[in-house]
Amino acid sequence: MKVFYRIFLLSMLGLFAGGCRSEHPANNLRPDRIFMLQTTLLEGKMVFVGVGGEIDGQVNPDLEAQSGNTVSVVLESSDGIPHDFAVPELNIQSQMVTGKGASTDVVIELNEQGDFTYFCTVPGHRQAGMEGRLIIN
Amino acid sequence: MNVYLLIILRFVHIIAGVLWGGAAISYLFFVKPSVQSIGAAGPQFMESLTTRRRYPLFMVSASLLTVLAGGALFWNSSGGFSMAWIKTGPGVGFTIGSLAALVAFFVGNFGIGPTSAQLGALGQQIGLSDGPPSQELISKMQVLERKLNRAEWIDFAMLVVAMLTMATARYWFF
Repeated sequence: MKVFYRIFLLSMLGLFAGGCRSEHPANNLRPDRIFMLQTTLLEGKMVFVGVGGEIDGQVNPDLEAQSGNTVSVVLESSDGIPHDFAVPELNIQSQMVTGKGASTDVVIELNEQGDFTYFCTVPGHRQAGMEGRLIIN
Repeated sequence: MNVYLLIILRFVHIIAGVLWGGAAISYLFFVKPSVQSIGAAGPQFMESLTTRRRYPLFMVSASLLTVLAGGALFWNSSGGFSMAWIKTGPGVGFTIGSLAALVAFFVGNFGIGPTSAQLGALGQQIGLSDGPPSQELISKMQVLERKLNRAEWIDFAMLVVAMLTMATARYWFF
């Protein structure tokens, strides 16, 4: 029985250690560009709106960057609804923001080139309009 | 909405929903047929289930918690009942599930509950009286039993719809 408990405890410790998220290398990098997106309800749709810079005021703006750059995408919720930012083709997924004014950021190393789609993964939000393009040149 | 509140609401909604749906299905397919098959001991069993174990109170509590927590989650996910979200695949799915659950809630608490109580009262009346029950009493019981049976099956169907849509709505795309 003692052996069983030891094996069980070690297994649990192992699962816990494996489940602990390791720091993503990109999170320690200084970004070359910062994109700020705010979530909102606009004209009957759920959308991302660019804040500041070239994307200021744009609805579901095209996020353009160069391959080899590191970009930071800051997501802020202005509507209090749960949202996130994801580009599944590039294995990018932010934390979820819940609550008005809550924000999160995800730092991405862009090693690919091409047009990719970013969207909110909360069920129904992409269909409700939360989708845009990430263009890596 | 605060993320911790969201987690608590999901926990309450799912656990209460499991208890509600599970209890309703267990009752319809196992408890009720067993009670009917044990003859004279049936009313005694039902009296214990309803009065001593307070099964009706359990069902009211579980269904109420499910509906209230579900309502808050729906309001949050839809951005305050925004049509932009309700029109989407998941929105339609969760809306159908919510409406089905509401029908089950009302049928259960305002149909099954009171009808069961009336049947119980009639059963007690028969048990306390001397001699066989009157034809009038038997007819009343038959009417109530048919009403109860109908309500139970409507309740079951709505719960099945609710569970199926809730489990799959996030994957609905159109």
